Amino acid sequence: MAVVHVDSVSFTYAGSTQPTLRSLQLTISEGEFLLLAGPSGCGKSTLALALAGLIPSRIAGTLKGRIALDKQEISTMEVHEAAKHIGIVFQNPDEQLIHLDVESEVAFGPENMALPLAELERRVAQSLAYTGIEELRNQEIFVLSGGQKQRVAIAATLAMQSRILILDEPTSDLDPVGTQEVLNALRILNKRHGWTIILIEHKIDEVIPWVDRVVLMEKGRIVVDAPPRQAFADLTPWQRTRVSVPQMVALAHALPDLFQQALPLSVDEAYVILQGTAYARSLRQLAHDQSSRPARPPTAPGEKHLLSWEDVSLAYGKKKVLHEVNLHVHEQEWLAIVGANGAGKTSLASLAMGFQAPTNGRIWYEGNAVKAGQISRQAKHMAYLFQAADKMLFEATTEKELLFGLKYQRKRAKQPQPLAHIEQLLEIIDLVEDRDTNPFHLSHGQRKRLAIGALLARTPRVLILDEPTTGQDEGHAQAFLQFLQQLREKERLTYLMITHNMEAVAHYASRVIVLKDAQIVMDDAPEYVFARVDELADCGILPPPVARLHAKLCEGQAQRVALNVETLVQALGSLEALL
Amino acid sequence: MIAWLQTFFLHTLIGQTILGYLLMFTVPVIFPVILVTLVGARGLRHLFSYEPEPTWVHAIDPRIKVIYPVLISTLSVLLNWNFVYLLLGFTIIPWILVRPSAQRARVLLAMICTPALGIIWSNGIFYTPPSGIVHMFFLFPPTLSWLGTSGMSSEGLLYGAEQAGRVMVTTSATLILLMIAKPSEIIWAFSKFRMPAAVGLAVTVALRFLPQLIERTTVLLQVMQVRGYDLSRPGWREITSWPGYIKRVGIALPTITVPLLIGSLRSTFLTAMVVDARAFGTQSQRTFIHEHKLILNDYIAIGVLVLLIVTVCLLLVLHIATRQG
Repeated sequence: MAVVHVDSVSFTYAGSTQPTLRSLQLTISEGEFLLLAGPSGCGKSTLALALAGLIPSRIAGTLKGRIALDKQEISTMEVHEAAKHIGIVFQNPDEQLIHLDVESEVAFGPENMALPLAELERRVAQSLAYTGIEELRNQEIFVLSGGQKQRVAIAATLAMQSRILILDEPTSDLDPVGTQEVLNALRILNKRHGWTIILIEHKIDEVIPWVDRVVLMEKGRIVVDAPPRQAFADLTPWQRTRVSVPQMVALAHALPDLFQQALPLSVDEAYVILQGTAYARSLRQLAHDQSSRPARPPTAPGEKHLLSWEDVSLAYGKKKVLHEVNLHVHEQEWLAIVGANGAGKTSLASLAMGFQAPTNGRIWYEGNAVKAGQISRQAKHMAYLFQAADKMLFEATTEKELLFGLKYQRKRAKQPQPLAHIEQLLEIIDLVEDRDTNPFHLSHGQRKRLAIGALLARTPRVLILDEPTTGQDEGHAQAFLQFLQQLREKERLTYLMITHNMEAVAHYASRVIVLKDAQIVMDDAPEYVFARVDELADCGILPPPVARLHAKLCEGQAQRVALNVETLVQALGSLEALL
Repeated sequence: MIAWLQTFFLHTLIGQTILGYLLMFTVPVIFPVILVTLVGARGLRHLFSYEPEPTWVHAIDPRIKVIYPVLISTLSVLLNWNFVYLLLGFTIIPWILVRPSAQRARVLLAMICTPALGIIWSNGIFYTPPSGIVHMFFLFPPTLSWLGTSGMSSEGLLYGAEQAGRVMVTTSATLILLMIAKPSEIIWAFSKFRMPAAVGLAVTVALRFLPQLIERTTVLLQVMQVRGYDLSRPGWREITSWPGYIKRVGIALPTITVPLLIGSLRSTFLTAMVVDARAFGTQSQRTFIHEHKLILNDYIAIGVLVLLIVTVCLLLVLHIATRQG
């Protein structure tokens, strides 16, 4: 039964000349799990806001066409009336939770509707049960993990009794564990309780096995609208929009002979197809024959470290954040720091920048102890790219932005900066033409490059990248990582990358450390770390699908795994030659 | 040596000038430093957060929790200063019962005492009693005549101490509310007092988002320093570096204001949409998942407060604690 009809809908934001939605036509049936994909700026979020009745009542602009829920028009409903039918959950859980404890948060909507106590109690209990957080009912919000907070936000939306749930990138700020928690809650809501789910998500790999239908948007229009296997049968629109497809789909397209019968969407499906084949047996044999590799060799005597943590511990009261950590970083390494939220990743990096002092131990940069609080002095050697580049920009023009730090140094630390240096920086970040442009008029990618340029103004040798791809679609994330890669090679930089994006780790990092319970539990090259799938699961990390498939086909015997589709295809190709 | 110093500072023009400048300017410079050092951004974050503990005070009916600071502040205005300090002693009792963490206690003391010391100091220098008769504790030399005050008076210090007592009583009684009452309880109490629901929501949202605002400010200051903006404090001996440091601190504040404002507005916009979507304000009455009923503990608390009111009334009627004209 159809529940939502989007009929020739166009929307233009106030002050904009171009429409963001262009004559959209869409019908969503009851109980459907719909994935809404597309590059940044294609209109996904705008469509979500319109479906939730927030456009045009809360966001100014011109809406044409009709969005109807059965026979009622959503755009003419009051926001709270629409919320009784369609709930929306946003990206950042912290900005949508109003209360300080879970029960008050979930009860807030029904309380506002002045429902009788028995009904209030029923709705709160049901919403908590549906999202699997009954045990958190009396918890304070601030002690919850990101995934738990997002589930509270979903429960609070469900308590309004909406049968349709729209989620706008609900997992983009979450670690892999939090992502799985949220996606599992959605799967249960949809498959067990029949909720209609409309999900905007970049992590397609993790959600695609449960999706009934995929909608791809491009420049305000729908260009693909089909069940998943059909949607990925032709990759042209996906490649054109630079939206990633599931790795297993890419593998199947790269090896059409092996996947003639069906297009696999998940690792399990691909495994079922490949497990009995000669390829799988050969891969397993190859893994078995590989002599056991010694653990990553310790640093050779006399080898110079650029950055070192020596017996470093950090605690907040009784809570241990880092415990006797020893780590040495070498020049020009691209070191990925991974682990679940709260594992100590950011603390580890922030100690090197001097944001805080360790409880015990010392951090050394080229043999000199890092002093806590002396951030601007440490910034001569190291730079820190924060997650939101927007937070890093303060000035009125691109050029002034590059001069910002140099202008406000201490007098005695000031060195004459030739104008050529700024010219060079503008060239490096490819913003020569935009030197007089206001940074907030630049695109997201340009702003990120400008933030990097501003950091490079002090010619650091180490760059700490805190979740450099969060909130970006695949195309923009890849472009930015490529830029960082070229920059590293050209400027001989060393990178420390804190990330939950395992594809980025697989593609770019030369070394990975895994943090768990305040300690480093793995330290090796990505192809070796990602082979330890079960141990990584204990650390709350999910390796890229292709690495998981490789490990599964080798039945856990592989010491190293393929990190991307091309490598696995190459490996299978070489086996084909042998067979 | 001591006699020489005494003679120098109290009986020579240059000594009196140095001492006068120290009295005048050290306090306003030191107070922000004390606040930043003892409280800091993290301290403020702790100060404005609810701390769930299974104490008797936490379990009291929210209506009593909300009335408490209002009542105590009113009584402090009526009493003379000796009794205001007794009242301050009374407000310390709930703090002892809730046993705040050492960190919170330190922040709390700094937040209560620092403004109080500031009030005593400023009144000491600038207060003139209605009679116009003052006993100068320290008379500024003619070299400081441009300040517009003749020095530090005993009457001013006393008056400052009296006012500071009232401020400390009010601060102590208000800050405990933030520690023992959940925002949902505050909304409930406001609704029972027939106050607009929006007032309760405003308090809730402020309590929920203030820690985030403080955290955002900390991050922005870190960002500036990562970009090379030097906010590290020079050593006391680096006298020539201090003007530059003060200038940089002065410039930093407006610089972070714009991104802070933009970030806050974005968050507020989203929160407003969520509040609308949760049907806030659509009904004239709300219901609550927890309706609080008065129990024995509450009656004890009410009894104590009534006893306090009666005692104060008696003291006032008997002209024992009446404020002097």
